[in-house]
Amino acid sequence: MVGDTLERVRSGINGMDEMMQGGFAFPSTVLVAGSAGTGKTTFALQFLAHGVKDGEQGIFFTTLSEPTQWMLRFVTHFSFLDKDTFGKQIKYVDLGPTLRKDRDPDVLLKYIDDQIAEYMPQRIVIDPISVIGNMIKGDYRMFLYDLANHLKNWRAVSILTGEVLPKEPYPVEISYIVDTVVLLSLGLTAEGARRKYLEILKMRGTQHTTGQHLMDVSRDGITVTVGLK
Amino acid sequence: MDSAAAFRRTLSGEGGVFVLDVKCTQMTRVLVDILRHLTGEGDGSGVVFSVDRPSAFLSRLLERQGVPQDRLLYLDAVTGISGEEPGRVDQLELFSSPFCVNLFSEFVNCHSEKVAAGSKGFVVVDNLGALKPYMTNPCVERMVGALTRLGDGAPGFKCIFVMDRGSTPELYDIVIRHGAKEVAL
Repeated sequence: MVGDTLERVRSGINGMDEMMQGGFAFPSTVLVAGSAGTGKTTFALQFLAHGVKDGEQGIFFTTLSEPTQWMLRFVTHFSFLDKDTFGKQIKYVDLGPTLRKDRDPDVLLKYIDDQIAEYMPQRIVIDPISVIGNMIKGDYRMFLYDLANHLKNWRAVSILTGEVLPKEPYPVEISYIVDTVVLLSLGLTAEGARRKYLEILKMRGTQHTTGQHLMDVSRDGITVTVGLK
Repeated sequence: MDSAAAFRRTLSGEGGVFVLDVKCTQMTRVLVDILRHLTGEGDGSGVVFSVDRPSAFLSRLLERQGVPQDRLLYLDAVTGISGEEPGRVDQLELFSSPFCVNLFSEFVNCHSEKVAAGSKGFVVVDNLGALKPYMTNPCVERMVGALTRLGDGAPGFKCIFVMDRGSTPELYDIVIRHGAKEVAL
């Protein structure tokens, strides 16, 4: 293992930090990509909830315009999530109105910056980022570049979740601008059972475990078992 | 965390060189607390060295947090992007790229008159540890020396380094060797 010059924060995903020299680089940007039902939002919430345990603040930006109580309704069964932390240690911000009203990447970026400057989080989630590409006017790649640059300068670890399209292994345009790409996928075992898998495709400045590893989602959240395929 | 209160207790209004040992994830919050406190002291004038990010981000943060900046001079070590903040251009001094960072101490020496004039009250260096990948230890030593000398002959002057001892212990030791009093937050 090479000497690690990067500061790191723990991911909160059981078994994952051992795959990546102890955690995500701080600050850095992370794309968590996968098709529907692979656990992207659970991953993001588990990451934020772990930050609360470490005395950190988080912001959850949703692009889906889903009210907090609806989102919480589906995730409060997880033991890692204390719903009372929402609105306190974890701020829930809906980007939907700004996206629909202005559709202007500069206005959206300024709104995101203002929320971060006001709340000063160490952990940020944008879920899902892919929706923005379909809604804003102008250059989506330039927006992504500016967004990644800003997020790192706010000194936080930011998770962007992205939908994987058919025939595309991961959202290519986002993968270029982030430091880390984590792919969540579904696959069939030799016995024909459908299982979930986690793979670290890219992680700048970090020696990480490669290949797909079995991922279970239980009441305790996501657990990765390195070596099990 | 009430870092400003802890800081006030330690300083008791006295000048000198200080190093604040802060976990990397809490550095931004502590910095805001400290600057809120320092800008409220004396005439509130001081210099902020932004080492690892454009000072425009810090400026925006302070604006949003209601910390006055009219007596702050920003010096950026690594970027030219900060000039995009039109209202604050006169408060910025820019380096062209990270590759010039070894000249930081020379910069401070060459412009010591201007820096000293802007820093009647204090100099704050945000995240000195971020220099580690760019600067050799002797260069950091020269820079720390140049900064601490700005306070020569000014009894109330404070030179404050904000850094994470755990991530860059050797740079932390350099600051300690220059007589810094430690404040763990």
